[in-house]
Amino acid sequence: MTKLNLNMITQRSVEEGAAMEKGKTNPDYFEACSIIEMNPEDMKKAGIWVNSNVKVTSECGTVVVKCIHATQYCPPGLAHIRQGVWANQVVPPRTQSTGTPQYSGFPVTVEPAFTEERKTALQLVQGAVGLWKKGGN
Amino acid sequence: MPKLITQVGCPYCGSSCDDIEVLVSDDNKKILEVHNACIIGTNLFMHANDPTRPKLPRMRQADGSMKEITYP
Repeated sequence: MTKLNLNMITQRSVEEGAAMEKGKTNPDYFEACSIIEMNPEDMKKAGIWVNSNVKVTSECGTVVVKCIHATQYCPPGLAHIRQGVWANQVVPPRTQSTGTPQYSGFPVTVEPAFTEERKTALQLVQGAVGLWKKGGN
Repeated sequence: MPKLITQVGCPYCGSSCDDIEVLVSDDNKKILEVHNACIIGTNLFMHANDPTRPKLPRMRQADGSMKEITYP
């Protein structure tokens, strides 16, 4: 298993915005946000297939997301998860006196996790505070 | 006959689009079409039709379930 060290940015996207208006527990929101976009070269290097799950680990968290080819410009070494519940699992909370967490430009490691499943938004949010019960609220 | 409401302002982002047209059903209960808005704005208006949308405040009960309550 190859681990990749990448620079992570989490950004707005129009797909996320449209799905958010339908509701954050909507399947469209799940499909729009629980993905990581990477350069095809990086994916080859780590042996990751398109539409397979990967585990993303930062200094403060881990999340399983689906890997796809970048939909916009994304050079090798860069990775992108759309703003949302899944991205926030790995965003470092430090603000460096700006009042905003470091949403972009933090180091992550990406590794294949073909056998692991993505968690739903409710599972992640409620699980973080120990409220998750199978089947939701 | 559906009613076309013109010059609707979009409450979403700061671009302040104010030329949106919304086609509303006969009984004023359903939004049928949204014109001139972007994909986010269109979904925002269409969300009003979502039957699962919470319409009342909800209160957590002792057993952990949620129950819809009235406004005070």
